Amino acid sequence: MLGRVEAVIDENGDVKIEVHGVSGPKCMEMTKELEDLLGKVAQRTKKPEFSQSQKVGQKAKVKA
Amino acid sequence: MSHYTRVEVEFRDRESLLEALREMYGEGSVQVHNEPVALNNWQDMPTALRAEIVVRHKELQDGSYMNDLGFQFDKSEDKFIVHADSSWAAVGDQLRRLKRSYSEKTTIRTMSRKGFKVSKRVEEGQKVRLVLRRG
Repeated sequence: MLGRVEAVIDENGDVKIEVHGVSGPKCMEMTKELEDLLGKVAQRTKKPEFSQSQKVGQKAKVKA
Repeated sequence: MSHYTRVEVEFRDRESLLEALREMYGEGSVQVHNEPVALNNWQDMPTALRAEIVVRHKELQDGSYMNDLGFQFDKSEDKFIVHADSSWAAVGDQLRRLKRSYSEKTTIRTMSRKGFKVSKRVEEGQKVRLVLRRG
């Protein structure tokens, strides 16, 4: 599982974390510990890509 | 991108907090106690506040006439509560600086356990952007 994580730390120390290139539950698992140690999650947004590969995978199974 | 999360920083990771404090105030300026000890006021008299991690006021910038700075672990909340003297002129700036340092150290330390390394670090004013990749 590759992927890239970007963290932007603002002037107050609050952090915006973005995960690129990983979809589905693995994406959330990748940053779960970090989020827990950094503090309180104020906002979490799933991007369309979050479920994209899962849907592709499901379609592939049906075709097979 | 598959998700993004915004986190309001709290001091939860003890090692990152200690590293950030030692970097700001010096290795010998940060006291670590197994049990909470009393924080002193500017006259070195004990107050009712207690903490396990303590920076005595004389070690702080412009801190001669203020109380000690302390971090008391709250088990129920699983985080350190900050005891900082609100009359300390620099308190806001110092805590923001500490939080920024804590966040960066926590991010690098935690993600390195998952095999990530910092591939890029950019400072934009007081903001820091970190890019981490595996390998």
